[in-house]
Order: sequence, then structure tokens, then C-alpha cells
Amino acid sequence: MVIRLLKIAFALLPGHRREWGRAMLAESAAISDQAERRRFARGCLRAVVFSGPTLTYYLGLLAFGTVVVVRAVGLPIGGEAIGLLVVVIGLIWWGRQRSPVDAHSRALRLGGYVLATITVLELLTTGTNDPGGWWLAALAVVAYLAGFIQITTSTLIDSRLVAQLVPAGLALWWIPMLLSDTVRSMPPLAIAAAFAVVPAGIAARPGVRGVISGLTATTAVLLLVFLTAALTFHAAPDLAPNITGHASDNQVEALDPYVVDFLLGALLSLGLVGSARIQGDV
Amino acid sequence: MQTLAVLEVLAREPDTPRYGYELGKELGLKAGTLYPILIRLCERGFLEAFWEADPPAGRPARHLYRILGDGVRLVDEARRGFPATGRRALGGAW
Repeated sequence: MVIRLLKIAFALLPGHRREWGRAMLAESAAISDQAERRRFARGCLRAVVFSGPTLTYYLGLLAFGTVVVVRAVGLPIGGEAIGLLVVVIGLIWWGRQRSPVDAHSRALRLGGYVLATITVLELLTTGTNDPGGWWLAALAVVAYLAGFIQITTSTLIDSRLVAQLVPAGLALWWIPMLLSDTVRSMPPLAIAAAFAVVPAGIAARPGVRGVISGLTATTAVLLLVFLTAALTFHAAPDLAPNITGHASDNQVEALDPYVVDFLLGALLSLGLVGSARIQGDV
Repeated sequence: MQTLAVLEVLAREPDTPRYGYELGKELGLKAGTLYPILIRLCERGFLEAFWEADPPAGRPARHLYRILGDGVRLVDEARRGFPATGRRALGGAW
């Protein structure tokens, strides 16, 4: 029974820890005394479940799933939301089999998971204003998540550089946006700021790695622009340009132009999946 | 200090690879404590892990552990820096 549980627990380990699961199983199999073998296997089970982030990871996933299901019940996009949840869990499972290349990539992937979670929660709140287009937003979340997972398994990016470029790109748009009416009334400036990190990436690391690192940062900045705009207009409705004459409607309408950033970032993310796969084939 | 105890045991015969169950028995550590230590030490480059090349018939190949140069240096530094603490901890572990 304990050995069976151990085998199940090993299946939940991330790809780069699988060998340790096999090591513990082989060690258990070599112990002839049954009671001692069970004792050893219980210890291994404890090591797998309680050491490292495994338990936190699955509890986090369970909490996320619960929130999505509870929120989706009764919504017009309930079916789509449950479908998105299933695909997200599948993608995260797929990501567990493909470990990030280093500690920086692991942190970057975790950041991607956090952003995807916030995006799903955003889509389940204000995003329900447009039930007809919800599936497109859900597809975009899937594209982002696939991009974050795939690119962090690739040596094509410098994850530390990406982590520096992302806040710089976001700040390049967000600070002027907070301070200036003109910037707020010109949402395409956010796209320009997001792409400005590409030359910065190339300057820091000339060559393909700089380009891909820059584009990865651009993808994250485009998603962050969308989320930050939503948060900004929610926290400070007065900042939303007066489009409709009603503050609450302005809040919703002001976010619309940033949907372009969100979808553009998702397309870029799909491109990153392709580039990482090509590198994998080479 | 249990981490240091694991390194100490492996540093005694640096060329002799050891397996997890044996190490746990020698140090009085349960698998739930020992394996996270081994994983951490391997990931930080203090140990190398590899599979037994020629296991006897009827038994699966074991995962073996051998201390690396950085691990030996860590043990030496710990002995020089905290001899009393190290001895006390190792005594308890054994």
C-alpha cells in the first residue's frame, strides 16, 4: 500500500526530480524485510510530499481550481471557464514534466503562473462584461501559459535579463501614464514601451539570445500592461479617460484599447513556443 | 548539521560511492530527512549521483552518491570554522 502511494506521489514530482523518485523506489525494492521496507517507503513518501514546493504547488492549484469553479457557477461563461480551468491544469501538468533550465527560469515560470492566475481571475470578474469574446481571452491565457512554460525550458533566453527588462518596460509606460493625460489617451504608447525592451535586450546580450530574451520580456510586459491598466482604472477611476460621461462606464471602456496589448502578447507568446521548439529540434 | 553529517560520512572515503538506505542507517536518519539533504547537496554540486552500473541479478540498480571536491572543501571549512559545533552535531547524528 505504502509503495503504491509512493509510486503515485512520484508521478506528481516535477521532471527534474523524477530520477530521485526512481532512486527511492529502487532502494525500497532492495530492502528484504517487509516492515523495514514499509518504514523506509513511508519516509520517502514524507520526503516527496513535504520537502520542496510540491505540497504548496498542489494546494495552490487546488485553491485556484476551487475559486474558478465557485466563481464560474451561474456565470454565462461558466462552461468556458471550466474548460479553461481543465486546459490550464493540463498545461501545468505538462509543465511539471518539463523542468525550467535553471533557478532564474524557475522564478520566471513561477512569475508566469502568477500572471496567468491573476488574468484568469480578472477574466472571471470584469472580463464577464463581454461573454461573446470570452473564449478568445481564454485562448490568449492558454497561449501565454504555454509560452511561459516552453520558453523557460529553453536555453534561448537569459532569464535574469528578462527579469530586469520586464519591470523596466512596464515602468516606461505606467509611470508616464499615471502622470500624463496625453499618455492615458494614447494606449498604443504601451505597445511601443513593450517593444522598446527588445533593443535593450539585444544591447545587453547581442545575438539571438538577446532578441528572444527581449521578445519574452515584451510578451510579459504586454500582459502586465493589460492587468496594470485594469488595476489602475479600478483603483483610481478618475484616471480613466472620459469616454461615456459615466465614471463606472469609463472604467470599462478605458480598458478596451488594452485588450489589443493582451491579444498581441498572446500571439507573441505562441511565437516563443515555436522558437523554443525549433531550438529543441536543433 | 545533519547535512554536514552526511558530507562527513561521504568524505571519509571520497572514492567509495554509498547508497541512500546505507547512509540513513549509519547516520540514524530516516528517508524523509535524508533524501531532501541528498537532493540539495547534489543540486548544489557537493555530491554526484549516479546509477549502479552492474547490480546483482534480482535487485534493481541503486542510486549511488559520491562526494565532489566542493563537498570535501565544505567539510574541511566546517571542521576549521565550527569544530565544536560540528563534533557535537555529528555525535548526535551517529
